[in-house]
Amino acid sequence: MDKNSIIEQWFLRYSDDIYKFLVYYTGNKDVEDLVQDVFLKALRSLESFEGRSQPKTWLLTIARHTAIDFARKNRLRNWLPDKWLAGVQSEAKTPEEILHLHAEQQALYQAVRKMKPAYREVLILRGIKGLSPKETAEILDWSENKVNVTMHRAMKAVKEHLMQDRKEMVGDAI
Amino acid sequence: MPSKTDDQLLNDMKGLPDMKMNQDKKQEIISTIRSTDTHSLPKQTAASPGRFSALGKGLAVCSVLAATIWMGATLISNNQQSTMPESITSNTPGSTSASPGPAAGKGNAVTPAPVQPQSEQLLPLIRKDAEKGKVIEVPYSVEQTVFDQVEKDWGKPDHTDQANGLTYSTYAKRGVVFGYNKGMQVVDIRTNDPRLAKLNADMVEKAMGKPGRISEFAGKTIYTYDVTDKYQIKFIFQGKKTASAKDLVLVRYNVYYPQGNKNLMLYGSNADILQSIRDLAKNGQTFGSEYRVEKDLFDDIEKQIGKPDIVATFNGITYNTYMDKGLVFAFNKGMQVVDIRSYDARLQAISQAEVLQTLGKPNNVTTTAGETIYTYKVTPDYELKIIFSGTGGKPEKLYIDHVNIYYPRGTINNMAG
Repeated sequence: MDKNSIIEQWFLRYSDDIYKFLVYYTGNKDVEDLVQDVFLKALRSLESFEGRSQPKTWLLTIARHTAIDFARKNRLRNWLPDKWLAGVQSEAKTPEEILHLHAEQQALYQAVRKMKPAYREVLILRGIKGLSPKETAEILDWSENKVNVTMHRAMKAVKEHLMQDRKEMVGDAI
Repeated sequence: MPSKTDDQLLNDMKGLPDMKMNQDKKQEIISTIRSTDTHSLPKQTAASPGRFSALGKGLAVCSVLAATIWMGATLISNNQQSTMPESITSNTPGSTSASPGPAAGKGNAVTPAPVQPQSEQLLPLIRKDAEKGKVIEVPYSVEQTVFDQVEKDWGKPDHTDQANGLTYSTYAKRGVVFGYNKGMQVVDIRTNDPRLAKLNADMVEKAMGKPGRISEFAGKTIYTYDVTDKYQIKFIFQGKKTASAKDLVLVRYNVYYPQGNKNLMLYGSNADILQSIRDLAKNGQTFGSEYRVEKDLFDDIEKQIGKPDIVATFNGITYNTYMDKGLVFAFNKGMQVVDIRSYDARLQAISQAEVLQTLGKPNNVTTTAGETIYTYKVTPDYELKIIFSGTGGKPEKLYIDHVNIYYPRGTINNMAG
């Protein structure tokens, strides 16, 4: 099988996983171009894939780096004046808008979005994507122990955030 | 409010919806993959950390590029009128608190666009709806609605809490909370419509006049207006009442039906509530809390009801505020509770005249910071303090803000001197 066919097979099998990861990771639905980038990058560097990890884990690693690159470029874009930005305003909807998440899911989604990057990454991979600590460790290039500890702290932070949100909603008893 | 376990939270996260790409787009990407000639592409070491070390160079190039684009864009934008409609500059979740400032894209963007009108127009509407017992954008009214009806139309609430002797059900997505009594009658409706954030206390005063009373709790200032003889509006502003009215930003408002929050089975009248407060005070307790001054340690209370929202220390006494419970616990260095304050909404319907009639003349009266404080010595050790929002005026028009049960001996610092 040639490289293009291998990547095509992987695309058919894993594109939705990569898409979901990128939507949650970037908070934007408009990530099809990033998905394409991920598979083209994989195609270019297939030789470096040593088969030690699952293709899905490897693709997620590429997806994460692609998203980080994208965020960096976006940061550069943010230096540009508002008027210019208005012309390139994306009309993409955020996941909660597309998916009509019910309120509790929306609160959870928002809580995950508001976490610091390390917490958010581990929550998306371990929590939302349901990967094992080992797979998550491979993608993030961390030790399994670090994944577990960070996940524990991230869950605690999410719970605190959700409790705070709930209190804010009811407000004061006045 | 019980917190979720780790397993529950993990399940909730796994339960977040799956997302699938559009089939056409997939087909397009497959075609791109098929037609990509790998030999003509520069090789990349994907997913290798080393790859990012090269980013420094890229970043430098990007910076130059960005600067060029920026200069070009500035030139272009200075020379042409933008045709973009007024747009929000970011749709990043979580950025709602910041005021985005005048919207970009208007032809004459140099002059700040007046942002208030749309929100200021809300105030007459808020008043008109409140006279009918409603909050804006919500079809239900206090007094007339049974919560069952809301649940039938809107489905189950996202969560339910107890406070003020009422049950509060929250519809988070709609930004609406209903408070209802034991008969399921809705007596309190709260909204945090995002448009409210553009209003401040100054605008509210201009549109609605001076409030009937101004109180403060947990760092928020509350303006209460009696819109009819039955219904009240409470505007809750972020900030202390000492701040300038223009700096007090509206965070939410309630339409409240005080009469509906009287549990006639438990308290036939305000006099019954006052007698109950006096009886509780003799035992070192206050309305809406089972804990006692002198006897209880704050450590134990915290274990049972969780962490406070606000902690402040003053003269060696620590004050812990529970916003949703309307309670403040103060404790000394030995963690002994010395002061408990209740801001229960039921108290706030009781006038000074009723207090005088039921509890008689206080042992001491003081006025401070716009408040009148009545002190009753209920036992040799405990004092019941009743704080009214306002000074002077007719006793029928002055209402309770909060009540304290106070243990003066516990506030003496035995360690000092």
